[in-house]
Amino acid sequence: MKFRALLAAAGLAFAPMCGALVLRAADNQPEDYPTVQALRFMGQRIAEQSGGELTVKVYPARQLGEEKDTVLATMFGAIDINRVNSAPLGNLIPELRLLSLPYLFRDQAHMHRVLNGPIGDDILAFLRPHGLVGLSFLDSGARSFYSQRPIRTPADLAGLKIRVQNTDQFIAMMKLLGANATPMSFGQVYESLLTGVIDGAENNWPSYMSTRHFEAAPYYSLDRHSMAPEVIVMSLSRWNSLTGDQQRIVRDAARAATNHMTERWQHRVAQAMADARAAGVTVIEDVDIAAFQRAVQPLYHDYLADPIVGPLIHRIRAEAQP
Amino acid sequence: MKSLCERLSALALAISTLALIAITAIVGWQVWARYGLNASPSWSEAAALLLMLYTVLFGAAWGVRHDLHLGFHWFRQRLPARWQHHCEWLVAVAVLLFALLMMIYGAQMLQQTWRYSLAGLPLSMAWQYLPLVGSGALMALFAVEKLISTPDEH
Repeated sequence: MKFRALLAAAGLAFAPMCGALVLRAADNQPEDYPTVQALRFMGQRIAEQSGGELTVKVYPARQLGEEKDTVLATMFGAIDINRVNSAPLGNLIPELRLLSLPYLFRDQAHMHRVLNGPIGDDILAFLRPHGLVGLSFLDSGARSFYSQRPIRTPADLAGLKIRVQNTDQFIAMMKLLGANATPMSFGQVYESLLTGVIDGAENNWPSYMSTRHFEAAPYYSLDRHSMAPEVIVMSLSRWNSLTGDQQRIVRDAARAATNHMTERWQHRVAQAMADARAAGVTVIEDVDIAAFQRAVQPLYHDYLADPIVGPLIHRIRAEAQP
Repeated sequence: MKSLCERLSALALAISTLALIAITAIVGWQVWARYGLNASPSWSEAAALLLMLYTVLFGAAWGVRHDLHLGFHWFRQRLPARWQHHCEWLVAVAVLLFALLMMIYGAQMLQQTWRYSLAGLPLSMAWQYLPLVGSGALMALFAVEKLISTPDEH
């Protein structure tokens, strides 16, 4: 009798889960980071719209592994949804590399016009042959250099050891700018700045502040060389198992997350800038951006010659003037 | 069978040792290049990480043949002699199953990642999963060797 009661209780506890599909979502940023908040927002939307049929469980802070591993896991169907940056994704899918080209976007408004329109859809379509469905793009801000001394021109970078993400493209860009590219995992950067293994690094405002890298490299130069966006991707095998209605709900929620994130991101950037100034960071605003742009032009050479990526770059540039 | 297994386990040990030597050389070069030449090589860390898979997995295959893996000897030693023998048999079967899974799923990953290249190295990503298959195959073979060479009392 007791056993039966137990069974009934267990049945009740699990009843809401019957028929409901839990989608697992991975993110490598900590809980309070805007991308994680965007995934949570997307999850709520999906749960509401599907009447609880679909729910999203978010695993932030690398709980499911490093980005390069979770991408593979998503491609092979072990993770359902993943928020990744387009730069490491470009290591696997060459067509996506154009998104991390330096100075591809004039400003944030230009980027939004491109990514939230037909060009963005064409870029997301490159993911499908690799077992991924691209749902939407998220802001990642503009990456700029920070170091122990001010950087105003490419000449100021000469011989400096600058940490880069381990992608061939960033390494090539640093070489063109005259810096000494040092690929290194994100977690090692703080210590390496303190011990002089590297002289500087580059990242967006929120990351510069949340990692406290400003303590070891108090000069932030606003050269804004890359705006490589984040992408929300879904495993193609999971996508195909959803009904047409469910697919529409998931895609709409991901698009809504893009807008939600843009507002939060701007707020976050303003907050980080204020915090930086309060912490004594020297913000270098008079950066010779034209000199940086000229120096990296050779990077574009191969991309413009490519029959698929070349026309895309021209289309993106045409959007720069509204 | 025995001499074949002996040769293969020697080969596994040789791969593991060579990979370890290469890691030491590459990391040594990386430190010298970073501080001495002020030109960090961009491939060294990726190469060292890749080689570590060869060191660990082929070293583990050699270890399986020489019974160097973790084991609860305390438990086995308290059993009667006949049961101790069963234990050995059970361990070999468990190793065999584990090694087969490692080999099968490793081969799946190898096939799926063949077309992608490793970040920082001009090599296919499949090289990461090759030691999983190689080591799994060797471990399975060594487990079979143990199963057929242990005389069964029944």
